[in-house]
Amino acid sequence: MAAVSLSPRRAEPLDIVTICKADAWIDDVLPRFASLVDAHCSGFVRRHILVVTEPASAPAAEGRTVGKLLDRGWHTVICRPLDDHHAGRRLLAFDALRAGLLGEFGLREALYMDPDTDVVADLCEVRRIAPDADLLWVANPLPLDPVLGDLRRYGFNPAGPPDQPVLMEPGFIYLRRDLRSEFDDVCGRYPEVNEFVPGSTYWNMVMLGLGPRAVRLPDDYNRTFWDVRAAVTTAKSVHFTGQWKLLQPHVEYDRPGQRIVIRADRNRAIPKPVGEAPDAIAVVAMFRDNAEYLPHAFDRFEAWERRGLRLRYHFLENDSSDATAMLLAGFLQGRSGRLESRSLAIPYLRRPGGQNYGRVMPLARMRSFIVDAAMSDEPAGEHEWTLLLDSDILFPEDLLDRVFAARALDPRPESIGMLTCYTQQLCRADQLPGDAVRCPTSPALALAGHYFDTFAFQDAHHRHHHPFCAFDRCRRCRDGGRPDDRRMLIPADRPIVDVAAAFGGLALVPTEILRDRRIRWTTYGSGYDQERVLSEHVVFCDRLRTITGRRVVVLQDVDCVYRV
Amino acid sequence: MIHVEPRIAWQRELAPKIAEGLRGIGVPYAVTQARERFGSGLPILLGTNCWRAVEAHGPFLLIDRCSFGDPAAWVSLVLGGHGRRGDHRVPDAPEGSRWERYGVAVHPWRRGGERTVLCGQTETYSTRYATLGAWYSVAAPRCTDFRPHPEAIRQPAESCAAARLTITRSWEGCRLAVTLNSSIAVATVLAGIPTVTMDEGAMAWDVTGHHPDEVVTPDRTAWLHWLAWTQWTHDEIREGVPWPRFL
Repeated sequence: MAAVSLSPRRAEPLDIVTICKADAWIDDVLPRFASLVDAHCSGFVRRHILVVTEPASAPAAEGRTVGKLLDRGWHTVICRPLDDHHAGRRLLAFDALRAGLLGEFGLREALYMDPDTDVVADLCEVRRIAPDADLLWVANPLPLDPVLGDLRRYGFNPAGPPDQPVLMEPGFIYLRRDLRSEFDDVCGRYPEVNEFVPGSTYWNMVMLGLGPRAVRLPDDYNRTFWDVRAAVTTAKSVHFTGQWKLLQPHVEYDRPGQRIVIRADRNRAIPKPVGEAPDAIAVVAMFRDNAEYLPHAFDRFEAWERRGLRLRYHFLENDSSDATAMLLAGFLQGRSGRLESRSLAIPYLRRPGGQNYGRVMPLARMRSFIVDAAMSDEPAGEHEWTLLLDSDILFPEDLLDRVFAARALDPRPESIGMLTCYTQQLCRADQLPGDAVRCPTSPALALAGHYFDTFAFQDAHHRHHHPFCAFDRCRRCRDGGRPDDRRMLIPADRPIVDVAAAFGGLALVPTEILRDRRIRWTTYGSGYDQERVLSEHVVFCDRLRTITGRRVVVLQDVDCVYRV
Repeated sequence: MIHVEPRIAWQRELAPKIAEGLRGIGVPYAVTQARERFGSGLPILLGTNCWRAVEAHGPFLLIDRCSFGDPAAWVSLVLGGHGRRGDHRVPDAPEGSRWERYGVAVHPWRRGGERTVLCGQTETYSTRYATLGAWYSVAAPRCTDFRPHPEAIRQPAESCAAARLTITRSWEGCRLAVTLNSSIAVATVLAGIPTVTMDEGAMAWDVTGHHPDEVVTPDRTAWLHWLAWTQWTHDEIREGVPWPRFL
């Protein structure tokens, strides 16, 4: 890589090019892209777009698309179906298009950006950087292992020091000549690469092959949204990836205030919460090999039905080898709801003895899937809440009474968006301190006040206490080596504890909140250790709080929920 | 490559129809505001005002104001030049069905009248006259009235003022309309007003005199049949009808 140098300022336009499929993004994403470019880039900026159409699309629809884009000030619009040179690798065709954009648009140089990018500062200076370089690139914040593996396998030395390799992010590149022949060359020469992000692998090969004619831009030129601090304070452009794309339309940047404002969905007002107990419950639960547990849950549900509560059930069962699926199907007969029974393409392992990070994303996807299914049906009542329930969670018949009675004690109960319980871990009695309380129904088990779901828990200061719990009342953590800093702990006399994230295997959320499809589960790596991903509930709670402005709480006094 | 200036309403409205028509017959295209030629395809230029640099460096297809009918419904298509200088890809012996389909009124030639009306233009679009002033100085002394171009923003040239022409917008009592190459000549010929065109680019060249006092009233039938193939409706363009003739 060459050192970054600046050329004298030139009065030529900044040509910005993007590629977009002819789908809903034309109306949903591109207007934001265009307006932010126009608002923040100084001088003469021309926006160009390559619209990828479907071969079978109607000519009239294409004409309407062209009309819209002209109205919105796009300088050049090229429409064409995707060149399917890379059979089975559709996304790779987009990368190949990107490499040949200059010729396509008759430009000498241009900045390519993915359309789901927010331009929040002036990018015109990029023209002056390293004027002799053919390619200016930004670093990908993620060390993508499949890409690194491919590069090393084929003899490419990734940029950066060996222990901190740097990959380029192909979603933001400044081109000074077409690189299509180089791109096609590496595609042809190394056909066997990962199927995860082959385009990234090939772009990195092209970049490394250019040697000093490829120059890394300062990182601020393009950040990903999940690096929120950088996005807020210094980034010139912000790229939305993964499920953050759902949030993008609602994000505004307050640069002087160094904060991000997430607006409510203008098309969908968050409903006012109800002050009283629910008149209906949507039960959303996931099971796998839980034939022994299910009678417990069914017993509780039937008790609630007998009290006149309207219930609907949405169960997701996967890969059970016992009678779980049959039991669930039988329970649903004559009841409102549905059972989704699936076999995962890549089953995850359950390791009772340790944390299995590999199961977090599959779980996140399954949770989102079954909640999507539940939200596609009509609610069972005007004040319906959704019960999110994991397997092997024991709870009493009067749980709902206890939860909503505790909620009513809050001075602002309507501000609570997610109610969770103080779910205690049931442990073998011989593994607990002597003052542990024996379980009345099973003397071999005992309680020591330990909050069970420490992986999903972050306190109000976003502190993660895992593997310990954050509660002062827990005798197991007290005697188990937890740092003795009581300032970090939540006192036992606080019945309603505001937290950043929690789950505890059982939670209640107003159904109307879950009808907002942005409020779903996913996970992210830390950026330093990709394998140790966040609990999917941390992301879910973050979205719930930031999008709705409502609170997530642990009801410390509702401690009658147990995890076996 | 369709070159369009989106700030001009008719161009902004027509460009998507051209795109639809090309897409319908499977011709790849792009739409651009670029003032320069790029790519290997035939540039399709909307209007005559913005694309001189494109015209100067190779072939082009010009889509411009129609010669007859509603300008909101028709445009002319011509390859490689303006007006009659270009190639409209008219069939060798055009029969009359296309003209008759559109039912445009054609009035008998007028006889008599007192006034000779000089019809103004905004530009010459002519190799014969470098400026409008040069043409006015030749034509104005033979005329009695001056009809400014509807979109002209400048006052009549000095030569017109010197010839003491009366400014008019009426064709009443007109014995002869004198034009250079403006589409107004087609309108006057259809209205039955004997007309002079002084540049071969004029669409009405074949049915007009070419000196400021030359009155001709020929049979217009063959010319009308030819004229019908020089312009196309927006619907035809959207349906892709004319493109095989030009691309």
